[in-house]
Amino acid sequence: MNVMLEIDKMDKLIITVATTGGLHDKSVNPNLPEQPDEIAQDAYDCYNAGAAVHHIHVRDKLGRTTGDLNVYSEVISAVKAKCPIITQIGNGIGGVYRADGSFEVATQEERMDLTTITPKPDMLTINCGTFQFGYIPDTTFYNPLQWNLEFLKKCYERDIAVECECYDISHIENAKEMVRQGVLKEPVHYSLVLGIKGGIPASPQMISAMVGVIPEGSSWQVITISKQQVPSTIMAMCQGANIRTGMEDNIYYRKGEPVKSNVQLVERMVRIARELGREIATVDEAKERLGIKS
Amino acid sequence: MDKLIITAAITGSRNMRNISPYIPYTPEEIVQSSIECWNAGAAIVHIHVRDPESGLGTQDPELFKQVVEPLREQTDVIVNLTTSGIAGRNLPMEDRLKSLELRPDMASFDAGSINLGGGVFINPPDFLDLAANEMKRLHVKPEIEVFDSGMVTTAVALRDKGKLETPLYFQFVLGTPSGAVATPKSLLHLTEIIPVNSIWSVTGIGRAHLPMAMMALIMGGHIRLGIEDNLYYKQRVLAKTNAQFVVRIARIAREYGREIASPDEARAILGLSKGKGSKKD
Repeated sequence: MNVMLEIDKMDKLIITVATTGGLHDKSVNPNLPEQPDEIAQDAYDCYNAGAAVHHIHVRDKLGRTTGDLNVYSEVISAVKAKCPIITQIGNGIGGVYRADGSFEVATQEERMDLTTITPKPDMLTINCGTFQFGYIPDTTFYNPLQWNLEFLKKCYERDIAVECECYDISHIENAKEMVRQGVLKEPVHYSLVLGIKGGIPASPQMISAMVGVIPEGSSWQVITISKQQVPSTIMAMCQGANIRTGMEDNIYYRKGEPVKSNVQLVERMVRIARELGREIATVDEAKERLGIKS
Repeated sequence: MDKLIITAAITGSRNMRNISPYIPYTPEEIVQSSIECWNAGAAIVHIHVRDPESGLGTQDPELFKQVVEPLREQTDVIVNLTTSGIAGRNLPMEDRLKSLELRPDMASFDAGSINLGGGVFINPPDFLDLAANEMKRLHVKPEIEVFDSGMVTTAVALRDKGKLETPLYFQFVLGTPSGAVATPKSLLHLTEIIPVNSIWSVTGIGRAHLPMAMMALIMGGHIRLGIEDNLYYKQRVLAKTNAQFVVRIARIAREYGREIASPDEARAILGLSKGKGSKKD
């Protein structure tokens, strides 16, 4: 799509907060919410600060990433009890520990089972391409086309909206293919994920290259991690995109200063958006744009 | 990433008070606004002067002097004087360069001709040669204003001839009616075709003003802003002062975590001699 820097023509800004993630734990930042009550409290605080979408990963009692559907249920229920923020589950789950102590990426079965969570989440993400996921050694993150199509159908059967995570330019083409096959519904909501080892590197040039191949009428946001997270997010915000922030993506508020809470990250982005002149989308406004039936 | 150099473009020569009553006209108003911007974090002020009565742009050295002298006395701000004259009402070349005799730290160097201001903004090769020679002779750093990509080519050719000295300092002026558009790709393209180790700054004309500045903020470039380039603080709200723009971008820079360059820090980045011409030093 073409990007013109016309603030007055831009949609309201949808802020997603990724509170927890599926890779790091409290050992790198003790303020990372892991247990259901912690996650729900952060979601509520972020909702009050302006976040419309909550991107959720869950942990077991030891704080380890898990694909346990009961924990997902517990977290979604806890969040919904506090506020109407849109609940979104990442379908990669993350790196999970097995009973024998081994650490591996979640299985395809565990991931497909996310479509059965009760109460249902408002959204699920799909990952639009297969690549070497550099943060777990020797891990191929499998996202074959047929598997994604099956996953999508299961989402739509339950009226769960989807967001398409693209870690490289070819993944955007895969999403277009799912549209051509009549399964992925338009408008497509793209998450451009840059700077993950094994995926496209994070830079203004790479963001522009990705945005250039997204069809007009789509919505998009940028996800980057660590020191690239704030600049990439500001760049996306300036261009009319939505944004994501949160401790999944960044555990430092700024260099050498650990994040105190997810809400600290949301509040900063709200302040910058206000300076820029972009209004913040409410949950209801975000639901309408993301195709979430409530 | 270098500290952020903020240039305040105080008044320009094109817009008149019939569209915004807040445009500084007199030398006193231009000095006052410049000092406010300097206090707010601007390291450079980009100066045009106007006939105090009519408000029309002029290159009158006496009026420039009435701005430069108080700024030298009261601040250490980097003084950047225009050599543009008035877009669309081209002045004789010699008149455009008279401001250089005041030995400003910097001066604008418009690296090519383009439709602008209802006419043609004429910067032919002989003028560029003359301007480059004069700036070199008087130790004035050129602010190479780039309205479209060919102007980068022109500037690089002048560097190759030894007429412009490195590091080149580019000011991308994006979003003029016949110039390069103010879009992310336009900016990226320009940053990719300038010589390595150049220094760049950008100003988005009109509505792209702030998003363009924020792009520069995160990309490691520098920022020009002010009433010359944008009359509106936000949609439908006229800027009452130039300092408003500086204060806002300084707030955003702080949120982002990039420090603002003082005039002396900016001098070091730009390769200017320290506090040249400043009575403080």
